[in-house]
Amino acid sequence: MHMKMKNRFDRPGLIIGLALILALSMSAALAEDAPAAGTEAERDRAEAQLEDAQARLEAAAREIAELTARIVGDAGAGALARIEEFARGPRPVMLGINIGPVGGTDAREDGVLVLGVTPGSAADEAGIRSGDVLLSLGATRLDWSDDRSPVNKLLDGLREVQPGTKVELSYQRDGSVATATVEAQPWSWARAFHYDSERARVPPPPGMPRANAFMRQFTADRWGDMELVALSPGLGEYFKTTEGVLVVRAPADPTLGLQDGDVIVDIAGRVPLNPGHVARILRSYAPGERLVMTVIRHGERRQLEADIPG
Amino acid sequence: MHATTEQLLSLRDGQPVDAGPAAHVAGCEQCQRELRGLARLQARLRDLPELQPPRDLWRTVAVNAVGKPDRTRPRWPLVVAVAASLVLGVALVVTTLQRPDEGPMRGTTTDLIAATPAPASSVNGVTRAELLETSRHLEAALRAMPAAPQVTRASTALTIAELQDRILEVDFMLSDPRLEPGREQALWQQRVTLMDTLMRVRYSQLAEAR
Repeated sequence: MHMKMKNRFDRPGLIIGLALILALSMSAALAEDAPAAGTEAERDRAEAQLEDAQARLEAAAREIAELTARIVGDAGAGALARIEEFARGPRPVMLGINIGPVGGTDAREDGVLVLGVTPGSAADEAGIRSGDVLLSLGATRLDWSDDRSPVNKLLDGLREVQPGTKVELSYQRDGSVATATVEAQPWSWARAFHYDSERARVPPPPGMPRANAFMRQFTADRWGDMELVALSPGLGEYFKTTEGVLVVRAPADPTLGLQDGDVIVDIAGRVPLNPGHVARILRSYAPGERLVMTVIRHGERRQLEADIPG
Repeated sequence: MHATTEQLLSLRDGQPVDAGPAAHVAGCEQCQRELRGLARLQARLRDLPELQPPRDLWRTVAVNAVGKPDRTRPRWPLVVAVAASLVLGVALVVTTLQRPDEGPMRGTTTDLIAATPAPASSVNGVTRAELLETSRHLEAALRAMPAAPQVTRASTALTIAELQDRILEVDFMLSDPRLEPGREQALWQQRVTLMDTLMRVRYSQLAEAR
């Protein structure tokens, strides 16, 4: 079993190949507008080429993400069972860090070493960095005082944290101790683990949307040309709303019924925070579902409804 | 029971696969569809122009971004990139055999990217410590990049969201104290690949917004 798994992960050719496409597309994205745009027509052509190269690069990147998810999902039910065990817990929360023991498994040193910080996560925004040594979670010191490992103390402590609340983490960096306040993000199947449960041969946990590669592709193909911007306070004042995402350019595809200048304030009860959040919400739909969205158009709220093709 | 990605890749490449999965794929429309998709991907790879693999692909990409003719739109303000390099807080120095006059301008984002090690996942026999170091460099370089442009295309936002979510997934798995060493190594390789890909997408996003 171990050998099989090793073999599976020792086969990086496909992903490296995709990475090569990515690099080539990137070179193209950076170079295709190289001819000095002398005329308007040349400028338009260069910009069209740049957009095309950018689209190829993003498609290759999404394919890498998809393949990685599948390879991780293929790794067997053991890892997925642990995810389920976690997700079925009373209040699963995420900070966006990966952790390990200080000094290695046998060192029995106090503290918890941050090995990685997920880009864009709550921990990233709170200033936690790889290499930091976490010393305490709230009032709980992460040490060996009662013979439980600091890593287990942190993981156990996080199980007691209410989603959406803020936790205080003290940490050591370069000899200095500091404290970061991190919002414990609620576990969200919509954000993580789009693994294909059928492929992994375990039943999907309750509430978890099934893997939906189709919608990811559909979102990119149909609505990928849409341009969005999160509302700043000034824009919010102009559009008379404090929350939502402005549609600078509506998608050419008419399914959503959006127009330039609409502010998306709600998608089926979810208030979008930024363009990435809009993309995450859109991809969470399944073919055949009805999407209901509230927008502000010309100062008035109106409801848009769209049927996702089945 | 559907075939795994690895089994499908082996079938596509004409490598031996156990009789059970092979028979399943022969009669399963879903697996056949997956197999055709992987074959199309391979064909796309084959259709790419011939490329002499550069000694350091990452650096080559960064160098390509330098010395481009002036554009009609302004470049990112240099001061932003310099500030970003200060935020990074470490001196990232071009260290290879490249001649100084070929290198990217010091203190620019391109410089930061050029100084970021090539993805360790593409190197055979890489150690866990090297993977962690590369991952850490990539995190720092990503953080040092100028903020994303305010107006974002949905496809870019989706791509970045996909990559961040996959990294979150890998990070969750890597925090499991019961992880086997072989699996841990594999997950670190995946993490570095994803981080490297995210870096390229973000860099390209900034280049487009110039």
